Amino acid sequence: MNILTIKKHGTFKVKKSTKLIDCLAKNGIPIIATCGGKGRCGSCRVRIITPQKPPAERETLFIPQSALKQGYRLACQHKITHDMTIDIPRLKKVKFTRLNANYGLALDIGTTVIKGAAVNLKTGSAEKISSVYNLQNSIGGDVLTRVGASIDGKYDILSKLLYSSLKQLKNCLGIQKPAITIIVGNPVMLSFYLHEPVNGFAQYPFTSNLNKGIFLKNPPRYVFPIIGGFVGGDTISGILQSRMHKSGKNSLYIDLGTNGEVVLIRGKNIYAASTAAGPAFEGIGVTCGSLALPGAIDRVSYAKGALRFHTIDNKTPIGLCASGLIDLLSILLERSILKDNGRLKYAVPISSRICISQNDIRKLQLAIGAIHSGIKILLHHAKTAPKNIDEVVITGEFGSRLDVNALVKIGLIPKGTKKVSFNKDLPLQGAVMAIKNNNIFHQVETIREHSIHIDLAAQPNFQEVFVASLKLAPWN
Amino acid sequence: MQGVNLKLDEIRKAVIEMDDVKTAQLVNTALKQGLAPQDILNNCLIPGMKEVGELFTRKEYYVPEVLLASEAFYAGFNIVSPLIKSQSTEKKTKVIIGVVKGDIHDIGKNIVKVLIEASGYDIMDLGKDVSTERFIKAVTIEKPAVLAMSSLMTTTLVHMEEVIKELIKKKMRRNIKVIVGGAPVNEEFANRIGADGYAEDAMQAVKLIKKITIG
Repeated sequence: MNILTIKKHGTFKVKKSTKLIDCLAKNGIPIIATCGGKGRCGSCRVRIITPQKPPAERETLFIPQSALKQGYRLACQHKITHDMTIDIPRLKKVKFTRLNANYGLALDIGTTVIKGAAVNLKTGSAEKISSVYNLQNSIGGDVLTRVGASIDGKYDILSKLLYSSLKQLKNCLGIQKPAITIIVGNPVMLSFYLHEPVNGFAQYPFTSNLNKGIFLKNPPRYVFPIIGGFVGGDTISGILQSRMHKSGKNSLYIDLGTNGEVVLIRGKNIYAASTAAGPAFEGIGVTCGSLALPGAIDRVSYAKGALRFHTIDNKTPIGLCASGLIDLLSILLERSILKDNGRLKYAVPISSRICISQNDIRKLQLAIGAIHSGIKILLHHAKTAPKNIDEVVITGEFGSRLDVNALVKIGLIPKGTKKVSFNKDLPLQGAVMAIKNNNIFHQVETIREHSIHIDLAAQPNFQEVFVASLKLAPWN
Repeated sequence: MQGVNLKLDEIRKAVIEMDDVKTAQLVNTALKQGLAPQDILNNCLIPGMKEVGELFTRKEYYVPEVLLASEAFYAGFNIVSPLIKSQSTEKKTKVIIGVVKGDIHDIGKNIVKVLIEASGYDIMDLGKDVSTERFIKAVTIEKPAVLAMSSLMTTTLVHMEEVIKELIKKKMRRNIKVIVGGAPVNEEFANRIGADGYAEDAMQAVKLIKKITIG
C-alpha cells in the first residue's frame, strides 16, 4: 500500500504499482483522458511534486521539456511505486451557494463536460450557468471507450461517476431539489442517465431505446429523445432553440464538438448525421490547441509581416481554441505557408511556447474534412445544393465569434452561404427554454418524427467524398 | 544505358507525383524499349509507392495523396502484373486483410492494403464489417501466410480476439501469422490477444509482415 496525496482533494490509500489514472478514477477525481488512458492524447497531465522517475518516452512526446522539469507527467503512464503528492492543474474549485426560490434545472450531458443551468420558474430565464467535467472521463475520453468498458463490467462504475458529476454540478448551481429537470445530451450519455443498456452502441448499426422523450416522476424530469445513431437529444434541443425547424428555410446546423453533428433542414425533412470530427477543435490532440479557457488564443490576425493574437481575458497564451485555430489556418493558407492539401512549409511559431506543426494541421484537416463531407452527403440526400442554403447556425465551444470568411476559406462551410450565425450553447439553451414552455414537448416529438438519420460511413461513396473533402479550400 | 535508367526513375517519380496517366505512358514506353516487366515493378513502381508510404509516415503526404499515388501505382501495376504472372514461377506471399465486424471505417485499411500490395505481396481484401466466420472461411480456403485485421472502434476490438480464438480452435493458428492495427490498437493489446504483431501505421505494417514471414 502507498499513500497518494492529491492537493485540494485529500489523501488516499492505493495499491502499489497501480496506474495513477486508475487511482484517480477509483476515488472519483475528475481527469481528462481523451484516448482512454493509452498514452495517445497527452490530456491527463498532472504535476508530481514528490521525487520521481525520469519521464517515459511517451511523456516527452506530449509534454514540453520545461513542464517535464516542473514534474508534469501523464497520469496514464505513471505507476505508483512509492508515497507521492500530486497536483491536478486543470481542476476547477467548486463553489457552494444556495438558491432559495423555486428553480428548474436544465442539463446538457456531454461526453467531456456536463453543463447545467438554474432556471427561475417565474421568469424562465437561466440565472446561473455552471459546468463540470464528466467524471466518466477517468474511464475514457470518448464514448466508445466507455461503451467498451461497460461491456467489460464497468457499467455500474460509469453510472456512479455520471451521477457524482451531476451531484457536483447541482452543488455548483446551488439547487438540490429542482422543481423540474430537463435533460439533453448525446445518446450514450442519456442511456447512462436512464440506466438503459449501452451495448447497442458497440457496433454498427448503432441502436438504442431512446426514440421517444421520457417523463420521469420523483423527482419530475423530462429526458429528450434522440435522432438515431450517435445523434442525440442535444441536437434536437439545439435545433429547437435555433428555431430552424420553423423558419421554412433551408438551413444547416453544425455542432463543432467531438461528435461534429451536422443537420440539414429542407422543407419538413430534417437530415442528421454525426461526423466523428474528433476533439481537435476543442484543442485536444493538437499540441498547440486549448479549450476555450482564459489564456486561450481566440483571435489571430496578420499585420505588418507578423502574426498577432488575442487571448481570452488577455491572459498569457496557453494555446489556440477553435476560433483561433480557424483564423490561423486561414492566414497560413492565404500566405501560402499552408497548401490546400494540408502540407505545411514549416512549423509556425505563434508565441514563444506555442507552435503549430504538420501533425496539428493533419488533425485539424481531418476534423474539417469530416464536417465538410457530412454536409456534402446530407445535401446529396436532401437533393439540394449549397447555393440553396439560406442559413447556417454553428454551435460549440469555439472561444469567440468565428470568422465567416475563414470558415469558407478552410472549407468547413460551403461558400456563398447567405447568413451564418454563431451560438455557444444552443443545446443547453433549448433545455432552458423547455423548462418554462409546456408545449415544447410536442415540438420535440415533431422534430424527432421528421428526422432522418444518415450513417455517413455506411454510404457507398463515403471514401470518395471524404477524401475530396480533405482539401482545405472553398467549395460549393 | 543511362537513358534507360532515366526512364526508370521517371516512372518512380510519376508515382510519387500522383500522375496515373504519365505512369501508364512511361510503363508502356519502357516495355516497348524491352525492359522486363518484373524490373519495372521492382525498380520503379514499388520504390515509388514505398517512398509515398514514407512521406505519409512523415505526415508530408496525407490520405488524399496516398490514395491518388496508389491510383498511379495501379495504373502501372495493372499493365505489368499480367505479364509477370504468366512468366513467374515464384509464388508471392499471400496476405488477407479486413476490418472486423461492427466497424465500417475502412479508409485506413485501404491505405495499408495498397502499401502491402505495392511491396510485392499477394493481397486479398475482405472489406469492412467482416464477420469472424468470413475471416475463418477465407483463411481456410486461401491459406494465406498472414492475416491482417484492423478496427477504428474500441468496442469492436473484441472481434480480433474472437478470430484468433477461432483459429486456435480450428487448429489453424500455427500455420498463419496474425497482425492487428487501427487507432485504438496498441502493442499491449496485440500481445494480450495473442497476435503475432502490431503496426502503428501503414509502412510499419509492411515492415512487420516482412519480419514475421521470414523463415
